[in-house]
Amino acid sequence: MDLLSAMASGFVVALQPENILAALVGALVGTATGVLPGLGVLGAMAILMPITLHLAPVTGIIMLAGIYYGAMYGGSTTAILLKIPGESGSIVTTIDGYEFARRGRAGAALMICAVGSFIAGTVSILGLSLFLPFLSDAALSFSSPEFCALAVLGALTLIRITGGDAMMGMMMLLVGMALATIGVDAVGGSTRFTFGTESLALGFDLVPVALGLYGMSELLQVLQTRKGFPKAESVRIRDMVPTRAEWRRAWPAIVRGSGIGFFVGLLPGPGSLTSTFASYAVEKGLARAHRREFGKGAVEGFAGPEAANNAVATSALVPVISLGIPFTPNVALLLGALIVQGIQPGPLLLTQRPDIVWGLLASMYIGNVALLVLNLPLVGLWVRLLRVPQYILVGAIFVVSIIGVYTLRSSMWDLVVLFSCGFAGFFLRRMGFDMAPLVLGLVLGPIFEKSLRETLFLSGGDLSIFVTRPISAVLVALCAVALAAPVVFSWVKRRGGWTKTVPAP
Amino acid sequence: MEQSRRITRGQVRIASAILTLFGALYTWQATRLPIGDPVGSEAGGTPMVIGVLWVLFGLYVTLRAPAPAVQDDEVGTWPSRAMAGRLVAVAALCGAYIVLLPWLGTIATSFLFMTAMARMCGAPWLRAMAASIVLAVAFWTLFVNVLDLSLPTGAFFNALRWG
Repeated sequence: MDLLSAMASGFVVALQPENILAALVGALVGTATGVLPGLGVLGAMAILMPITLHLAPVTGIIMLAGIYYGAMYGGSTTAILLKIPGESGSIVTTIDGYEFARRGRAGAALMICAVGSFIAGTVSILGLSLFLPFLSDAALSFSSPEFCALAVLGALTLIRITGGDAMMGMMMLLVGMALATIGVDAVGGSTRFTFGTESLALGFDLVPVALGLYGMSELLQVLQTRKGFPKAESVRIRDMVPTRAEWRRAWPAIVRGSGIGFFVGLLPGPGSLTSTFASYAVEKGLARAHRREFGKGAVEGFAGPEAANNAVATSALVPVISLGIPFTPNVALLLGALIVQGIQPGPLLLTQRPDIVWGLLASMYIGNVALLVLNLPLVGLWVRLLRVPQYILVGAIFVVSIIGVYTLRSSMWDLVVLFSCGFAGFFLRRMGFDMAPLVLGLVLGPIFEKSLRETLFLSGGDLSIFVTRPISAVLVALCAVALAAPVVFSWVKRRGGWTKTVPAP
Repeated sequence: MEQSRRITRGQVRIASAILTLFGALYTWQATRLPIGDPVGSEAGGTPMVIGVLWVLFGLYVTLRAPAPAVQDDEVGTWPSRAMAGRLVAVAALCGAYIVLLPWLGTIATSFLFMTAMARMCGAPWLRAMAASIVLAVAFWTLFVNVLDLSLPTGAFFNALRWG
């Protein structure tokens, strides 16, 4: 099947009425959740994921992808209007986007971000459509040792890049992997670590754990004060049209940001944050006439990073769809949702379930259009959402989370897990323990165990199989680099070899 | 302004030690599972690797115990006294939700939960109750009528209805 016909078949799936509705609802609900300060993209996805699991697999994944996009867009809205980044990718936007809004150009800033996100999303989806078949073909030469090494590489990379203490991250990853082993052994079928209880035999489902660690612990954080959400100024539709000069400055930044975002998203790492800072640095470096404006409301300062942020969101799906390995917590949740839906991502997904892959890609496009045509006119609604009293929203989000989790397996055990993870996550985060590795461990644990056991069967217990196969050897070498690089860097830095060269936004 | 205390290295050490203890318990349980031949190919192999690494990293973190840098109001500080009170109240409400759900059903339990949460967030009684009943019914409609899922109606109400 050539690319065009594959894309066409994807659009046939995505344009089914229920899938269009799922993309629209996902984009809207995601935006609504993303707009609320305190709930990041992960929190929004975790809270709404249980609902998507009751839909048909394609429809559910399309809705979840819509939530992902919507929440990211919502994060930009609060970054511009309130100087509160909805997620890490919007941090840069708070600098120039907010300053631009303070000049009375909030509507124009939102429009530039929305159009930039649309263009970036389109560029990235096209790139993804071109890249994916090649990468999936390459991934067909992967076997158990390669997947095992890749799972370790994914985990090590995430721990290295989350910014927290690496050893603490490692510990949380292992806790997540250990939780994944509790219950029924997916390979042999026996039960483990159940202490004879039926509840533990059910195991730790991804949804209550992720929802507890992210959604609920963030809601508990919202209770920190009773001040309610910050208030934003109203934005009128007629104020949303940027001037010709603003457009002229924005579009090259959008194009550059799209390219930067797409390529950064393909690499393991915190694509969102890295790409926005990279885009900001590029724009600041290229701006000659307006360089002094940076930090005070330069159009390029938010147009480029916002485009990069959106492009990353799409290209970060490449490793998940082609290899079944997530490199960021957001896509780890998407991967988890696929697995819960009974779909095994990986090199065979493109051949076994092309409807899912191409339908998802096509629906992303529809989601982008939905964000553009629905969210801009609805910007007034998002501002008004911030005026809904906190006392209504907090309780309501709690109850949606609880009911959503309960409906998955009609199990009280899942509610116990949800609440326990919520409180544990709240306190552990305060102590500096990052929760992303734990969720990743829960997702990667079964992949790692299955591939490790298969590898040991294949090799008769000989671990040298990891270094005698070329691809596996390269991955093991990359794992070694991921482990050793920070130690080497810090040693070189201590000797005064390098100075910090990260551009300050 | 609510005062917050900083989290100390000692407190991080205690948390890490508790996690490490759980790791040791997990590893001990893993030793009772079959390892298989070739080694590691049965149900106990991977848990053993995970458990041993968990304990090793746990011991390292416990001994080093890095003090969390105060980044914002989410990391590095304990909740204020008022916040701690609210957390205890939310924990009690969550526990009550689990206990009451099979008895009172989804609508009544959610109504009580949301009313209590709204009161805790400073809402007046009438507004708290009005918003909670509307939302409880809306969620029931969404999950049961729109998504066609089954939610507990409550043993108490079932008994009233069927005698």
